[in-house]
Amino acid sequence: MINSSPVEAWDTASAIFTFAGSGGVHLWFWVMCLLCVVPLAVSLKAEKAVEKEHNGK
Amino acid sequence: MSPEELYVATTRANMLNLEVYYYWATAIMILIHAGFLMYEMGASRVKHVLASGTKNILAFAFMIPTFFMFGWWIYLSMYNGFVPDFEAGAGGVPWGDSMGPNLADNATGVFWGAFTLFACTTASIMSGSVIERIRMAAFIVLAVLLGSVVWNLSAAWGWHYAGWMVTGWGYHDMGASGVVHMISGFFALGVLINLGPRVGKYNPDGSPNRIRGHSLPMTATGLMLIVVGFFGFLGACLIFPGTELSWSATQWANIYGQPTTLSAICFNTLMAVAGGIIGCYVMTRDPFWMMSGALCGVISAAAGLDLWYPGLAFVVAFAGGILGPWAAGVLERMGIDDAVGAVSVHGVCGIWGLLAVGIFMGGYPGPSAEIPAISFTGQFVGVIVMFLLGFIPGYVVSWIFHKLGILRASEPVQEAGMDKEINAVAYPEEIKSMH
Repeated sequence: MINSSPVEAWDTASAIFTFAGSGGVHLWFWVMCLLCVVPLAVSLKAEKAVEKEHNGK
Repeated sequence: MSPEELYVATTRANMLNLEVYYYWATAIMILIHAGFLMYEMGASRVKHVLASGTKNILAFAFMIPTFFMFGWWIYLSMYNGFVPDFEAGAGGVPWGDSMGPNLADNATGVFWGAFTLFACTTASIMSGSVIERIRMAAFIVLAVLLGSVVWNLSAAWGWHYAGWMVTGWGYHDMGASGVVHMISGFFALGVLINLGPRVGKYNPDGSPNRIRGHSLPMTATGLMLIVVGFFGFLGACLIFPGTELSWSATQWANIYGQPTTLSAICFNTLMAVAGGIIGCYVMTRDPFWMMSGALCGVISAAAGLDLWYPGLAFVVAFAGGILGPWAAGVLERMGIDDAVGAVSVHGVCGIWGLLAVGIFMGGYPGPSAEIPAISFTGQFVGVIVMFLLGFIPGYVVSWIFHKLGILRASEPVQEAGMDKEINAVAYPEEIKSMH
């Protein structure tokens, strides 16, 4: 599948995390940021429904 | 001090530090059990609370002597399959010199203790799913089978530097997504099929009812304690450096010998907890599932905790937080009454955890040149093995108990409450059950 390994041997490795030193790190960083916004939208939608139910607006 | 003397003194000091490290990691792991105790009691109705708690406590108590009797030996000796290597298992024979206070061995006791607590965790995972109808003796035997036999086999095969899944397939499961969580989740599934649902769970037309536990705050707090305990659990998945038992003189390693750091585990465990909670919140907005989401997240990321980029660990855990409650709904519609969602949280998210490593981490080298690199194929083989190794014993033994009539409490006993088995009252001032 996806070869995200920045190392070919362990002896001299330093940053060993997936996609280290490549654009993949930025991709997954921004996906993470996006996923942190989703629950805010979910909350706003749920709160709006409750407000409407109780206040009629 | 000569260089030789300095080396001996340093190695000795490191050995004592190793002993301290695993001793306290084991103590922290007991919080997992305290958490499961609260979780399961909170998820029980008032008339079943103490029966659920008692079963959980007894699972813990039975795991310790049985792990001493044969569990540790199975782990050490059966890394090749079902045929034991008696020489390798000699250190785990319960009457051996290492299996007791020994001034020349500071390690065996703390390693045994940590592995015993892993076993207790597997039994606790199963115990929540079967609350409110399983009978005590059958439950204890099933818990011992899972924690002191089946988990030891899975660990020997896939969580041991010489395990056949590691040496043959490059299987990578650093934080035990498969060897603990999948095994326990699918063992529980095998038991649940024979145990059947709680009285009142399903209507005559097959539609499910939601049975609410008596204390969601207790359940949520218990789940948070489990998260705390996971820091001990996952920390104990690493090998301390600088001793004759270590992989390296200067760096931590995972159980297979690949170098890592405690910082790696800290980064990714916290990100996984957060990702799982937020994923479950988006999916359900249910406090029970939000806290179960922390487990979904950790289990989804656990297999690769040593290697994830933290942002990707968050995304993998978020997906686990979506997957867990979705799978629970599917199982419920199939007629499987899993009271706490153990099959979906541990079993299904465990599958995702193993496959996520296969999808994203292909190409990472093995711990030595002889061991294959991480691959999707190796992880997929792991999923198949862990499913079968967990499900088959759970199904077969519970089927035998079912045929013997000792698995499930009768309907009148369930109606009266399983606490009739217990010589105590949970709430003497009588909080009334609505169910």
